[in-house]
Amino acid sequence: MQTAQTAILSLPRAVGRSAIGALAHVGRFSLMLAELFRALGEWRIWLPRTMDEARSIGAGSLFIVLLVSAFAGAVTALQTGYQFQGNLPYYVVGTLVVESIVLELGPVLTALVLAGRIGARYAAELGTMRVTEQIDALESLGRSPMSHLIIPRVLAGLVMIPILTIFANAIGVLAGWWSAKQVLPISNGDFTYGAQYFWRPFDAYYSIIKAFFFAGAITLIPCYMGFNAQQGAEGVGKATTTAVVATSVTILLLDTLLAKLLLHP
Amino acid sequence: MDLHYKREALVGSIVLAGVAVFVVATMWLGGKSFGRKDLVPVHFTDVGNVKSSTPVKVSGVQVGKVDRIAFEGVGSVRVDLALTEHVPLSQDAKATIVAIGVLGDVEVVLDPGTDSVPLSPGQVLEGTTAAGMGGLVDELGGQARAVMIGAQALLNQQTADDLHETLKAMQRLMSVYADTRTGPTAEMTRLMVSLQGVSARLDSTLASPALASTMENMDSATAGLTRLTEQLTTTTARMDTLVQNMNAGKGTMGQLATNPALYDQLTATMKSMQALLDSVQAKPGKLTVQVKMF
Amino acid sequence: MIELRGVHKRFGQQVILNGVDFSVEEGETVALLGPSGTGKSVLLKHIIGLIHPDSGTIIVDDLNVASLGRKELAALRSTIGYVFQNGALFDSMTVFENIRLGITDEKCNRDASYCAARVPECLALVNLTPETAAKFPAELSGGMRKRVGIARAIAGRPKYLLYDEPTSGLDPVNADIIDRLVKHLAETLGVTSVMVTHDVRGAFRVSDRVALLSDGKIVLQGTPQEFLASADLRIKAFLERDFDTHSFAA
Ligand SMILES: Nc1ncnc2c1ncn2[C@@H]1O[C@H](COP(=O)(O)OP(=O)(O)O)[C@@H](O)[C@H]1O
Ligand SMILES: [Mg+2]
Repeated sequence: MQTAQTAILSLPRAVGRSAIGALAHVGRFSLMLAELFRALGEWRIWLPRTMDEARSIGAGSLFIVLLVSAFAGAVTALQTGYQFQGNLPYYVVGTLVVESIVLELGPVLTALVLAGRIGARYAAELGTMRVTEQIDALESLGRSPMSHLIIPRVLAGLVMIPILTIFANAIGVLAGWWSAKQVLPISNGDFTYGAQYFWRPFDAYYSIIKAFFFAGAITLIPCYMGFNAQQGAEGVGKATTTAVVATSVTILLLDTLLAKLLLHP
Repeated sequence: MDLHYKREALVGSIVLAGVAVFVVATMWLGGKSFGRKDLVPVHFTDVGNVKSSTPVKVSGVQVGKVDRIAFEGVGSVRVDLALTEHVPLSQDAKATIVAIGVLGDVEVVLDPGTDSVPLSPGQVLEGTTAAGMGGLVDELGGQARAVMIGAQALLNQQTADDLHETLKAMQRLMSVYADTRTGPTAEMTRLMVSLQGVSARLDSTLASPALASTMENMDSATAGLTRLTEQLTTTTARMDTLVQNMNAGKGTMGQLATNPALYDQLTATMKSMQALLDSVQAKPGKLTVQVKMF
Repeated sequence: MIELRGVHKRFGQQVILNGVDFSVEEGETVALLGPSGTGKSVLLKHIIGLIHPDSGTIIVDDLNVASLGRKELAALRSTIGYVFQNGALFDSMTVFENIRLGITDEKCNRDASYCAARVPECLALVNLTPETAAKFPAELSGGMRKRVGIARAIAGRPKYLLYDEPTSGLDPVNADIIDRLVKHLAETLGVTSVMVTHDVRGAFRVSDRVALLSDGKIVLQGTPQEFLASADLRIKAFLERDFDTHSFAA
């Protein structure tokens, strides 16, 4: 009885606390962004490190990204073929594979895979650096953690994730094409016809724009989480899982938001 | 230092490869291609569903694509055809936009012409739009209305019965189509609405006592019958084109081609129409109409 | 010159520093003693502005650390070498790159030949071989990591050196080397140093003055003689316990 009462009484306080906590996150995140922009002048510092991170993202994630998108393309083709068999002309498979891969599956699956791969790594790396005082050490040397740690990761992501998405789109479409040909009497001409018929050049830009926004989420959120990790190994673990969850949710939110803003303005 | 260059070169090559894939893929999807191509400008008053990448065919073979569509003013559109095959074009070459499916797909059929004077480079061809599926539906409706008028001049009970059969077949065809699960496209729906109207009118005509009376004056109705036969012929021919398109698997007609019930009904309708024509043709009297069958 | 006046700091409900007054004169070496968990590291971080005080002032080189802008703070920090308790080496970099980052002067830092000479020099000062430079922190023992941390802190030829327990966890030989290094740097380069330590003997051997932090306050700051002569129970307890354990260990 008493505990229930205290629980009810403490509810507004708990809500208030978490609201303040959320505001603090927004504030700290914005401050980090401001510092990030300020540190962009130190290109001598971040440029070589960006190269390192870019290579690590590009070479490290290419295979898994291609694998996932190849399967996505194949499944799209097979299921489309199954679903519309006898109802729609086969070339529709070409249209659906290209449009679903380029507009949705390519960017989103790549982003979700990278949220797990790059996002988790960034959060864990920076979280470890925070709790082992490496970030403090950097600051104690009069150096900016932004230009040494955050900018290289964010920029590398902003460049490489759209590039990976382009590869993912290409492989997804090719895999879809190949699998469509395995199960349907569809010719290359049919597939090409369907692929091209409903194509709009904006689709390609939309795909890249999405990848770009996702890249922002994949790099900024985990960097923020890791950078502000709490003490101890537990803090690093918490930062990492929170980062991956928050990034994935943000990707899906951005996905919806961008579809609304760019496709149905 | 060496190590740094290697790393930067790797990043650079990944980025460049990505950009290259992007450019090539968007060009492919946009229907653009590298290599030599002849640009043939065509002037249309209305391009309908033509878009860049719409195929251009000569004798049924794709020889290129629509490259660019430029709006020059109301009723004036310039379309550049990019031909990857070399097609010698004459002064009297013609380009026609032809509808090839019910999803609104079109292609540009290029007739190279027979004139001995070749087309001068940059000369703008005059383009036309063939009666596509949309026009076909309207015409079909018009033909059917004429059939109904002619039917009033029918004298032969056998013919009337055949006509009735035709109507029934049409109705069955329509009932299959009315099943919206097959999701008829807008144009198919238009076709059906038109046919439905015709059917209703024909039905009421046949049921009317006036028809029975006209049937007794067969000889006097020869002229009317001739007209009716001609109209029936063209209508049937049009339906035939429709069915042939379906058979040819012209993409968007695939729904018909692959829906057996619909197809059967359509075929039955045609058979019935044919029987009607046969009976009209076989009718004794001064009828000299040459009925061209398909 | 480093001066802390009335510095208060709490983390949540936990009061760590409760009015700390602490000063280090130019060229002086001060040892900061105290039981673990009293906030010695927190105090040290205040000096380079890694932690901001809730109240009170921190003056370093006549500059109010808490009120410095980004650039001035970075400039001040590059004159201070900070040796972290567990080394805090950048584990994605080799020892060479770690120490090179410690060369805070940008011109020197970009000069490859300067760095190639300076890094082994710093390694030698902390009794490490030049071969260590190619290793990654993960390949080093705890004591070696600590010494690399010192090498990184001194690489930029700082004016101030803040050591956070530089000898804890080291074997006596290397602890002695570090103690001597602290003394050496203070004497030959005129570096002003603060050394947080548990090791009372080392503190007494190296430092000009000793301070004891307990319960969020500096209990006493004075010469080793003043310390030994003090009648304060907390000081007596600390000295005895520490001398005991050390005489045991030795
Ligand atoms: N950033 C921080 N956030 C919260 N508590 C901290 C933080 N840094 C230190 N503390 C707490 O302050 C107290 C003193 O820590 P510290 O200065 O490391 O002790 P020591 O004297 O052993 O160096 C400890 O209880 C520690 O948990
Ligand atoms: Mg400590």
